[in-house]
Amino acid sequence: LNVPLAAAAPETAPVLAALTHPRGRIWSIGGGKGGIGKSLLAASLGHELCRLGKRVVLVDADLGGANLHTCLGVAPPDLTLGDFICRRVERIEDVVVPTAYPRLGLVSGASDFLAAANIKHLQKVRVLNRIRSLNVDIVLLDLGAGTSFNIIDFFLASDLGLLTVIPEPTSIENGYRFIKSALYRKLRAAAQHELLREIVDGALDPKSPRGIRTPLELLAAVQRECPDSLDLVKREMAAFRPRFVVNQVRGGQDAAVGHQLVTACARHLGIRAEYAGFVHYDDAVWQGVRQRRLFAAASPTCRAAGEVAQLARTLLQAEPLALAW
Amino acid sequence: MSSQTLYDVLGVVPSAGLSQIEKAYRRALDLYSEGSLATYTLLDQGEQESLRQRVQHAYDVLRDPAKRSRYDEELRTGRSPAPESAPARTPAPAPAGGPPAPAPRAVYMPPARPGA
Repeated sequence: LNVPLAAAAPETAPVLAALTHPRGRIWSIGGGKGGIGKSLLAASLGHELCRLGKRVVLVDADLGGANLHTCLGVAPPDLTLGDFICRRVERIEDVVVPTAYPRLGLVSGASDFLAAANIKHLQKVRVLNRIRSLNVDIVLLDLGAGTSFNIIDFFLASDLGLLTVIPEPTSIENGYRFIKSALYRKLRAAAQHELLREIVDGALDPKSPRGIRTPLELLAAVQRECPDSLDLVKREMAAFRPRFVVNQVRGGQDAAVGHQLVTACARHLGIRAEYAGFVHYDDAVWQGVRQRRLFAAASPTCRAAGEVAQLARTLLQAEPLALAW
Repeated sequence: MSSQTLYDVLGVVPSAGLSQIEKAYRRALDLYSEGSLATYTLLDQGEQESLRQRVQHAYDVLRDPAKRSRYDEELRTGRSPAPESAPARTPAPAPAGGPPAPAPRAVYMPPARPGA
């Protein structure tokens, strides 16, 4: 990297030095809906991971709507992800810019290249391969709103996928839509039988003749019509484990929504999601945005900052980095 | 759905104590309450009501030592529970002259985790 990400944490430095091809972990932050705090969560989580000694690069993958740089108080960089996608820059390392925080780099997606929102498959593969080869501990992808293939593919390519929701029906609705879209795309990619692909395609349209509305109903259809693929579908479903983060919590009942989402996913979708943590609504967050400063750095003792710190510790425990190598 | 035990309905292990059963019952009621966020768009009104009835039925049996003992015995011997002990599923009310209510949605109850 040509950016001052500083040295690795003492405990990881010898390991990194010994590796010929060090490989970081990719974490992504999606959520389906806009305006629920994904970018602020990504920025503050990245900041906290760095405080814990990890070398992190944040990638603003909200192509066409990027503003992660603003959350971090960084001026729109000259070189962005769009430059790498368009091959104006060959190396992804060359579009990593430093931030005010040690060990935290940024690949901005500043909206100078709107066509980047429609990147082609090969471009996407190139981006994913290159960010995976970055010489850092964790690459944090800030995904845009919606369930476009690009967003879903980045989410599925991650080692750990966080699904941000806020305790409002619109967000929950989009969260479930995101989960189903991601799972069906995963199944579509794994499908070897044409009939299985047809069933999965049907599930994408609840008004199709099969009337599949949930992954469990899809499973039943596979068992009925394409039993040879049943084990494959079960395996893919078992491997799909989104982790919920409930943001803008205003009370205990809101925080409990995360547990209920996990239960509802298991019982009614057949998906084993997990509850990673919650972050309270906190005035310090929007005050930080106004000042174009990261709230976790501007007000490190605020409630939301403490909860993001807890979230970072929880995720690190769930994803021991040593296992990645 | 018929293969589910009342313990599955509440999401507890068969050895669960009364306090665990009560805790699970309250959680299930919250999950399937009207206005529940977590089931929004997953379940319709009729499905919610049906699940609330099943949860209530499970709780009524499992909190009562005598009823629970009889139920456990039925589970052990493989005999079906008494007909009146299983409430019928209530489908969503169809609007007058409208299409029939949709078929019940598949519901998977995961095995209870230890300590649940």
